[in-house]
Amino acid sequence: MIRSRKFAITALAVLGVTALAGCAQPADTGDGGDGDKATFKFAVVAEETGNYAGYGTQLVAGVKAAVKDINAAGDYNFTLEPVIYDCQSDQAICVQKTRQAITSDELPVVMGPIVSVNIVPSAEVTNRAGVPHLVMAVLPALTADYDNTFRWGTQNDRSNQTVVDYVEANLKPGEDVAIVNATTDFGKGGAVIQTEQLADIGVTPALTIGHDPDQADYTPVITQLKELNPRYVLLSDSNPADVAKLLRQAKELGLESEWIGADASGSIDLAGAAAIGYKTVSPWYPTEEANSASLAEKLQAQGIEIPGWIAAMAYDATLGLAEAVATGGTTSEEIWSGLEGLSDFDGLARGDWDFSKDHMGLKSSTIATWNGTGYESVWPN
Amino acid sequence: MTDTLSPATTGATGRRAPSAGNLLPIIGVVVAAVAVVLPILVDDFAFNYLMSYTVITCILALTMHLLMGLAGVFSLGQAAMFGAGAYAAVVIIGQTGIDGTLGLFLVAAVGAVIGILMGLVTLRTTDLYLALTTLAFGYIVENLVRNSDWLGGPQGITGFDITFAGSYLDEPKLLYWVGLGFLYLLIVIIMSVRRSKVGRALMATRESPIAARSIGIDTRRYKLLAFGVAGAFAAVAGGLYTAYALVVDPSVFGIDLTLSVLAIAIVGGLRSMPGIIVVAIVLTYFRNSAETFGASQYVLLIYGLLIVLTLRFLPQGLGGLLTSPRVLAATRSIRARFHGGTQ
Amino acid sequence: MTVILEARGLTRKFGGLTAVDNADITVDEHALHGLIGPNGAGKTTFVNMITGVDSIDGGTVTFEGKDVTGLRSFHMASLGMARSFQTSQLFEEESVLSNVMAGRHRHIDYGFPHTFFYTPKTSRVERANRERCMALLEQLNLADDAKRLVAELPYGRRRLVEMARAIASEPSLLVLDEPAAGLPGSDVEALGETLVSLSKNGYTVLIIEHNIGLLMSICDGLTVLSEGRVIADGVPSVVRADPQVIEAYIGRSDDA
Ligand SMILES: Nc1ncnc2c1ncn2[C@@H]1O[C@H](COP(=O)(O)OP(=O)(O)OP(=O)(O)O)[C@@H](O)[C@H]1O
Ligand SMILES: [Mg+2]
Repeated sequence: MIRSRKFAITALAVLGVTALAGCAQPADTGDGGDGDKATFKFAVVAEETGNYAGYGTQLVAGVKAAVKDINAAGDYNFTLEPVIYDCQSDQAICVQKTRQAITSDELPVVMGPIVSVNIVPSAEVTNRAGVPHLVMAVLPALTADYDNTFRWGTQNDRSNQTVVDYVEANLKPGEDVAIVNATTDFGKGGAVIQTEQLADIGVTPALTIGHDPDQADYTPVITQLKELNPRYVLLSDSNPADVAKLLRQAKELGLESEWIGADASGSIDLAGAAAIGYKTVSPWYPTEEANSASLAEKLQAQGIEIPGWIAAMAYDATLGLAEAVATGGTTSEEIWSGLEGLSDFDGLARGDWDFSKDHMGLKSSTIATWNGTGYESVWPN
Repeated sequence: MTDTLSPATTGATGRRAPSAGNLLPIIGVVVAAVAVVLPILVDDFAFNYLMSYTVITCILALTMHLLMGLAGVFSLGQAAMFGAGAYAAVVIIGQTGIDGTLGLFLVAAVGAVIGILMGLVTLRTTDLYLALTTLAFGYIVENLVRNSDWLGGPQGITGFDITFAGSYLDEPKLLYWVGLGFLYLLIVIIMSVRRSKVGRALMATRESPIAARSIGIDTRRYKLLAFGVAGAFAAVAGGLYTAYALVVDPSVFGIDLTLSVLAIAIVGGLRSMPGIIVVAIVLTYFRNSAETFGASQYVLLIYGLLIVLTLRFLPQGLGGLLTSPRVLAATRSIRARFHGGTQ
Repeated sequence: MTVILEARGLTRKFGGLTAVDNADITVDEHALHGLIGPNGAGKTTFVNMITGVDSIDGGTVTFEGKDVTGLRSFHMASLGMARSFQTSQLFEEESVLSNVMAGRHRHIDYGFPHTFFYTPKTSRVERANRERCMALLEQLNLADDAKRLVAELPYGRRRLVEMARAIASEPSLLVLDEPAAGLPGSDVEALGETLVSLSKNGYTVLIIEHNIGLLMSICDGLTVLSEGRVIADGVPSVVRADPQVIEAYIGRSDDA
């Protein structure tokens, strides 16, 4: 009895802990500033370790790359110094680190974390303290509910709108659109928004298929699609493995439709050759174009293998923050108004940042096709 | 609460009630008093919040002590109780506007009901099955919440205020003191229970249910009682957590919390209240400051390692050291030498 | 003499095996009643049914005039039927005193809030009960071990602790399943004396034992079970002479 209980404790504890201990990655602190210039410090709260380390390390890499460039250029009369807090992908710690940053450490502005369960309470903290907060998460509520947040990215309804804009420009009469979505919060929400936005351009999806996540075989879904043979399949699924399976089975069964999906990081790797021609929507891609390629290189220099949109957005956000500090000042209120003064601001990832009307930064996302070795930008053209 | 019975103790044979333990109550009272004035001494907004979080963790860890250590029920359902309490607090206090002085007790009632339900469902199961069933409870409640629009669905609820006696609990000192009040209440209850009829009934239920029943102890009733009390306090911890996190979303049902509290309870010693409290404080602080020690990417590995090492070398946890015969013998000999030296 | 326990037609089946078959027993108040029979005769199963530990497939149990058939074990115990087990069931990691105190459960009559908050009443009742338990341990020669962990005691003492725990509940019927098994001769004698003094003090005892010599010398009544059936019942001298009993026992020694 005692022995079996002890065994149960060990087994469960070890299982659980090893399951959670995945994807941990090392973190180091930001470098110090230059001698004679004033140093401007700002907080970066990121999931550098834990379940969401993949996102947090992108955020930190983007910030570091931008800080390095800004300080090297020396265009401002201050040097930038990020104070990076690893909140270990844990909500309680993310909240705590945000509090520590703006109270004990008296930092006037916060960037991150990424994942919605962490960024929402963190924004709640900065909002109550009147501290401006640079965010990247796609959740609309983040800028709808809080006036102190500045979105450096595209929120998900605008990404969906981008997809619909693309469809509107390319769909020929007689062609159909189908929606495929995972029956998750993300998938169902995406399908609903896309259906509404398609209605606005007078398109009714000829088929909407929901599928449960983590299935071994998606043949029934593909078979249904083949019967209809739509021009576009709009995919809302955040599970990379499922996206990869869908793409592979579509190719095997000879479905000719073009897939347009949200950026489910990792799915392209998993799908291999079947991902060729897959279109995804995202605020930024590492493409062959000059700006994009140089940014990708900078991000890789910070130690991330495959630079993603989070790192790119963090890079631009840091550029924007430096500009806001230069034009506004170093207190929270001054940074706030400095950020609101950014219109038509040129980042490296995007050239059309605008916070003067609302805090949403970008009007639209971009669409790119995976060609087997890299991304080719297809929208806006 | 002194032991008035003094049976003729013969020589130092065998394991006995610890005599070194006589110091413990005094240390306990001093520590408890210092804990009350601590936020005045260390007046830092963020640190006071960390202290509140530590107190919340202590409450949750002690509910595990009650269920696993005292009643011997290997329940992993803490997240269901904690999460239900979090949502209950937001609805009852944050949205309905009932003050925390009453509201937190209503939250406790909700937690007690969840706990008792969990107990009823698992009455006939033990060990691994019980652990898995109670764990599943968390998933079930999480799913219900995720699909309830009035509870904010997957996004959860933000923009509420938890009040206590008319003041907002987003003042960390107040949050800390309220939490400390509930922690002390739980400590008093556990200490009283352990010395009374109920504690012996729980002990009997844990050590040998057959024997317990043969002397008139309704083992089911006492298991349910333990589930109810644990549920009530875990729910209060969840309610206080919403005042700390300022939001509530389905992640409060996550297994991470249960596992880290389980780690605390095992390392501290399932049977030892002081052990659990000390480890809860140390590990919460360690985890929060892991970055400064350059250990944040190893936190969960360290937790796992601590569990394994504890189970291997200190099956009674750190708290077990307090009553371990070797340690007692060592303190006795030190004391004897010390007295010998001064005379 | 009043009858305290009466079981009629008790039956228990395990699959195809009828472990106890339509068995009766009657125990008088203040009596020392023995239950004997060869190994596997169904004695333990029989008392398990009587004490509510095992379920009943047929028959009735009447205790102190009330029909208690099928009541659960803790309920039986709270009505005053305490027992020990053939393989000891002790609270191993607890002290002797705490084991015995647990036995007093049904007599400790404070409730909430005295259970959750250690009040003067809790303290008073606990002290009184602890003193009673110490007195009992004194009588059973266990006082020196009061604070020792049960797990550390030698076998004989552990058997005694289990008996002490049952006695502490002040039962109107004490059921003992082979308390002398494995005890050295001198301890068996002491046990016999204890049983006699219990019965002199007004206790009623139903005892399962293989040591027939012991039972013959101390029991007021005997019931003999063989292959699930009662084959003899009465005062020891009559039972001893019963040919069926002799055969059951001789048959058994032939096998052995
Ligand atoms: N739970 C059970 N499942 C199946 N068979 C059982 C069970 N309990 C007892 N038996 C069988 O019932 C019969 C009677 O067993 P019981 O233990 O009552 O005998 P006993 O007279 O107490 O024997 P002993 O003198 O060895 O203690 C035996 O054949 C035994 O194998
Ligand atoms: Mg038997």
